[in-house]
Amino acid sequence: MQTGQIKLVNMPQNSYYASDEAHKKLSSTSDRIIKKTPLTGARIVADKLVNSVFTYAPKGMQGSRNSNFYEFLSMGLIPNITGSAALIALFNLANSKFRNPDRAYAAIPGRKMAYGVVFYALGKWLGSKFINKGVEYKTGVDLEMPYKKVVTELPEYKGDRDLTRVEYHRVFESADFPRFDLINKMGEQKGNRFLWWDKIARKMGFKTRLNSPDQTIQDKVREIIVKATSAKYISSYIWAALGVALAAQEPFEKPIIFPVCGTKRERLIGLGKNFATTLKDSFLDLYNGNPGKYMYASKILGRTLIFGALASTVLGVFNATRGFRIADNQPDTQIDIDREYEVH
Amino acid sequence: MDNKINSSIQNNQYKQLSKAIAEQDAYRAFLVNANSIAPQPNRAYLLKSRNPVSSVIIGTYDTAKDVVELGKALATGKSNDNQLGRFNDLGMKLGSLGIASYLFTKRGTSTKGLMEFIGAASFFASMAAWPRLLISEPIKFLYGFDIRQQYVDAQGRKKRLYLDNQFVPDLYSKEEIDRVADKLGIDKTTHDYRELTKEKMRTIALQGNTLWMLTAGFSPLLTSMICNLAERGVTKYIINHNCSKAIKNLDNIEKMAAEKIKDPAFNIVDAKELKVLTDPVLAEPDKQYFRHAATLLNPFHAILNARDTDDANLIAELNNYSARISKILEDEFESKRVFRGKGVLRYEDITEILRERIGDSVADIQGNVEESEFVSKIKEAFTNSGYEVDGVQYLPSKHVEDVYNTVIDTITDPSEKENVMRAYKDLAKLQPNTREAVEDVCKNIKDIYNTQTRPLGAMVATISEFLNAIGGQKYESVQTNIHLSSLDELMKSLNLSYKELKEARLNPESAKTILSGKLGKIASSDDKYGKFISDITSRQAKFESSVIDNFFGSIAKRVSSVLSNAFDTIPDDSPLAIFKKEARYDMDKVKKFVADDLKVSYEELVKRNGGEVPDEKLIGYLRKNAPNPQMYRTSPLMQKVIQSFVEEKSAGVKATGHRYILEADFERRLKTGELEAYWKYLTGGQELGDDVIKVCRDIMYDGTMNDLANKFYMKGNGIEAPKILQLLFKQSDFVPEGAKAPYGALSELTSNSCDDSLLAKLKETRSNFYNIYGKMLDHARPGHIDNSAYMPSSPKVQYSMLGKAGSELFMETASRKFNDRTWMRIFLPITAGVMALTVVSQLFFGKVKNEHLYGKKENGGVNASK
Repeated sequence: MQTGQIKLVNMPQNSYYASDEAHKKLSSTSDRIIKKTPLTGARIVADKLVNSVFTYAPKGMQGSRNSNFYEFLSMGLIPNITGSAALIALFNLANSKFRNPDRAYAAIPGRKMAYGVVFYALGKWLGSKFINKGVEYKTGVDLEMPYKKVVTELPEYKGDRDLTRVEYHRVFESADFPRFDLINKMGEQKGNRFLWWDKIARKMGFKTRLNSPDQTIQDKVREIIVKATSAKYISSYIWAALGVALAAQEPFEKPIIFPVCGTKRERLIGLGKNFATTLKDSFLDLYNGNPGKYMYASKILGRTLIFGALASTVLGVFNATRGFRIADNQPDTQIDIDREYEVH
Repeated sequence: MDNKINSSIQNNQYKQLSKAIAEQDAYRAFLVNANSIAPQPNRAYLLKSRNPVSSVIIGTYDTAKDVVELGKALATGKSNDNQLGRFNDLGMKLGSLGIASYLFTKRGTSTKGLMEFIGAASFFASMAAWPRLLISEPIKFLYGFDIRQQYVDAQGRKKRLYLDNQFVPDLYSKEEIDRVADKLGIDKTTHDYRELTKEKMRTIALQGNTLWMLTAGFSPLLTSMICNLAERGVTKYIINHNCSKAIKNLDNIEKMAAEKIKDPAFNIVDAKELKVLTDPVLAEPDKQYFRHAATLLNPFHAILNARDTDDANLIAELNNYSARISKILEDEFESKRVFRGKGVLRYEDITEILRERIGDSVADIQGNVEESEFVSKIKEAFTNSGYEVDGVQYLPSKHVEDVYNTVIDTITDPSEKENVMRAYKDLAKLQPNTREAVEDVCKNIKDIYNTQTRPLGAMVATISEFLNAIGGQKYESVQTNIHLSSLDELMKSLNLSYKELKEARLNPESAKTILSGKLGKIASSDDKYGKFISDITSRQAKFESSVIDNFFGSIAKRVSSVLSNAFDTIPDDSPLAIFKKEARYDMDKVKKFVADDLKVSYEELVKRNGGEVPDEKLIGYLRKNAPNPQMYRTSPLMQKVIQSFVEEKSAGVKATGHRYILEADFERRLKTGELEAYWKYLTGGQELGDDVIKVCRDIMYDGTMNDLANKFYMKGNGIEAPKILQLLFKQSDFVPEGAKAPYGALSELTSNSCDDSLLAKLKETRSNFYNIYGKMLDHARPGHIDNSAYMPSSPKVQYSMLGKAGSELFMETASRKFNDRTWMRIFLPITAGVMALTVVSQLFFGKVKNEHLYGKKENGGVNASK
C-alpha cells in the first residue's frame, strides 16, 4: 500500500470535476475574484458611478423588479457628488458677480468650504485606507479584495436576452456571509484550493501546512472583519473631521500660488511646495490653537482631533489583529513524526 | 447454528420490516397532516408611527445602544451586517459633532459661532427632512402608505421595510393593503388584486428611494435657504441676548473685576515702565518722575486715554487729576528728605551748588557784587560752626536748614527766592537720608499701584469692556447691530430695483447719482415726500431716544455709581483719595431714602433730632439699611468719563442718520424752489445754475472733512464757497413774503415730521458742517483755503461729527443688498426647481409594467386575459 500524503496536484482541479475548458467557460460567467492593480479601486468606482447614472437610476425610476440593494448603495455616490458640488457652489458661484472687496472677502469662506469638502472626502478615504492597510500588513487579509459578481436578471420585456449584469463587490464586505467560496475557487484555479488559507496560516504563525486551514481560520477572519469594519466606520469620520478642521485654518484662506516662472515641471513642483507649506502651517495652527475668545478650547479640540484620528487608527488595527497569531499560544506537539518508535 | 442463522435472518427481516413500517407510518402521518403543517408564524412586525418627542427619546436610546454594541463588537469581534451599518451612522454623528464644535471655537463672534451650529444642525435636519418632506410625505398623501415604514425583524432589529427592493417582508395586513388599493384605484375584481397592490407599493417605494438618491445632493441648497432666513432672527436674538447679558454683567461687575485682578497677566501698565519708577536704583525723583508716576497711578489714564476717547477736554481734566496726584507725591517726598539735623555736608560741595544756583557772587570774595543774603549767612554759619578734618571742611546740615528757614521769608525778589529754593533743594540732595526717601517713594508707588490702582484699573477696564460690548464699534456690539439693521430699513424705504443696486454698488459717484435721483423723485411729490420723511425721521428719533439716550444713558448712570463705590476702598492718606473725595452722596436722595425707610417725613425727623440731621448720621443709616448704597452717590469725574464715552460711541451713528435726512431735505428744498430763491437772495439775483447744484450735491452726498479742500474749493468755485455753505447749512433771518420759515430753514414737511429734540440735533449737525467747512475758508483772501485752519482730525472724530458720507454709505449698503439678491437669484430658482421637480415627478409613480397580466376574476384566473 502506498503511504504518505496524497499529492494535491493529483486532485481534480475543481470540486465538481469539470473539464478545464468547461471550467474556464464557467468561471467567466460566474462570480470570481479579480486581480487587484493600483487602479482597480478607481475603475470600480467609475463603473459604479457611470452605471448609477445611466443604468441603475433609470431602472429604479421605472420600478424594475431587477433593481437590487447593490444598485441602491451604488447610487449613494450621486448625492455625495452633487452634495459636495452644491456646497462648493453655494459659497462660490455668486462671488464673481460681487464688486471687488466683497469678492475677496466672499472668496475666503468659499475657498475654505471647497477645501473642507475635498478634505472631508480625503480624510474619510484615508481613515479607512489606513486600517485596511494595517490589517493587511499584520494578517494578510485584504479587506478590500474585490470580486466580480455576475447577476442574472429577470427579463424586463418579452424576448429580453441581455439577462446578465456585472457587479463589483468585496469578498469580505459582509460579516455574515464572507465569500470564502470564491477564495477557494481562486486557489483551485492555481491548483491549490488552500493557497490563500496557507498564506494566512503562515501569518498566524503555523510553520507547517495545516490539513484544513479554512476550518481553523474562517472564524478568525470573521472576527477581523467585524472588528476592523467597526473601527473603520468610527475612525474614518474622525479623519474626515480632522480634514475639515485643517481646511478651516487661516493659511487656507489665501489662494495657493501657482508659480508663474520656470518650466512646467518646476512650476508644478512649486505649486506642490506651496501646498505643502500651507498644509504644514494649518497643521501647526490646528495644533497650537487659534487666538481669540476660545483659544484654549480650540487648542484642546484641535489636539483631540489630531491624536484621536491617530489613536483610532492605531488602536483599530491593534484591536482587529489582537490575538491573531494563535499559533504562538499552541503547545508544541510532543510527537516527533520523523522518529521511528519501536513497539515492544 | 441453524437456529442462530435463522434467528439472525429473522432478526434481519424483522429489522427491515419494522423500518418499512416506520417509514409507512411517517408517510401516512405526513399525508394526514399535510394540510395543517405551516411555516411558523412571522415574528416580525411593523413599527407604528410615533410622535416627535418619543421618537427623539427612542432615537437617543438607540444611539446609546449602538455605542454599547460597538464596544461589544470591538471586544468580541461578533456582530452582524445590520449592526455594522448602524456603526457607520454613529461614526457620522461623532464626526459631525467634532466638526461643529471645532468650528464653533474658530469663530470670533457668537453670532457666527451660533450660525455654525445652526448650519450644522440645519444641514443634518435638511438631509433628514429632504426624503421625508419632499418624498415620503407626498407619496403618503398621493398613495396612502409610507415608503420609509420601519419594521422589527425576527431578531429584534429595526429596518426599513422597502430598503431592499428584492426583499420586502410581507407585513401589511389585508385591511391595510385594501386601503392602499382603494387609494391607488385598483379594481378589486382583479384576480389577486392584493398582489397587484403590493407590487405597486414596491414599485412606488423603489421609485421614491431612487428619487431620494438622485435629489438628496441638493439638500444643502435647502439648508442655506433655511440659514439665510434663520440668520435674521438670530441677529435679533443676539442683540437682545447681548443687551440682557450686558446688564447682567453690570450687576456682577465687582466680581468680574475681582477675577481680573487674580489674573497675573492683567496689568494696566507696561512692566518695564513700572520698574523704572519703582526700582530705587533706577529711580531719579524729579518733576518728570512724579508726573510719570501720577499718570501711572491714575487708573483712568491707561484705560481711557489712549483707546477710547478723543475728547480733549476730558483728557485735559484727567491730566489735571494726574498733576494733582503728582504734586501730592512730590510734596511727600520733599517732606521726607528735608534735613533732620543729622549729618554734615562738605563745605566745598555747598559752595559749588551755591555758585551754580545763585551766581558768581559767591566766588567774588572781593565783595564787588552784592552777595545774596542766603550765601552770606551760610558763610557766616561756616565761620561760626564749621570745622575741618583731614583737610576737608564740613558744615553741619542742621545749620544749613536753620539759615534757610530764617532767610527764605525775608527775600522779596521772586527770582532770587526761586534760586535760593533750588539751591536748598540741591543741598538737600547731598543729605544721606535722600536715598532712604527715594526708597520710600519707590515702595510707596509700588504699594499704591498694587493695592489701589490695579484693582481700580481692573474695575475701569471691566466697565470699559462692558461699555464696548454694548456701545462699541465692534461688529458684535449692540449698537452696531442696531445701526446696521436701521440702515437696512432706511434703504428699504427707497424701493431699489436689482438694476439700480447693481449700478450703485460700483462706486460712490454712481451711488450718488442713483441716490439723489431717487430722493429727487420722492421729493417732487408732496404725498410721497411727506410719507418718506416722516418714516425716516420717526425711525431716527426712535433710534436716538430709545436706543442711545434711554438705554445707554441709564447704563451710564448705573456705571458711574458702581464705579464711585469702588473708590471707597482707597485709604484717606493715599494720593488717589482725590477721586474718593470727588464722589459725593446726593443728600436730597439720601434724606428721601431715610425718611421713606422710617416712614416719616423729613421734617418730622428734623424735629425729633432737634435740628438739622448731620450728614454723617444720614449716610451711616443709608449704608446700613439701603440695598444699594452706592446708588445714592455719584462722582462728577466718573459721570463725565462715562458720558463722553457713550456720546462718542453714538455720535457718528446719529450723525449718519441726520445726514441722510438732510440729503432728502436738500432735494426737497430744491424741488420746492426755496433753494433757488435763497440763492437769489444771497447773490443778489443770480440764477441757481447746474454747476452750483452739482457742488451742493457733492458737499451733501460726498463731503467728508479732509477731502473738502481738493474737492470743492479748488475747482473754481472758491469765491462762491461761503455762499454755498450758507445756502446749504445756514438759516437766514429773512422771512420771505408768504412763507412761514426764513430762508435756509429745513423744508416745511421735514421740520413738521421731526420732534423737537431731533430738530435741535439736525440743526447741530448742520452747524457742524457749516463751522467745520467754514473754518477752512481764508476770509482775508476770498476763494482760498486757510491752510493753518485745516483740521487734521482723526477719522473717528470726523465720523462722529459729520457721519458717514451718503454716497459711500449708500454704495456699501447697496453692495450688501446686491450680493444677497444675486445669491438668491442664482440659488432660489435652483432650489425651488429641484424641489418642485421632486414632488411633481411623484405623480407619475406606480405604473406596473405587466399590469394587464393580472386578470379579471370573471375570466377565470391568472393570465386568462392575455
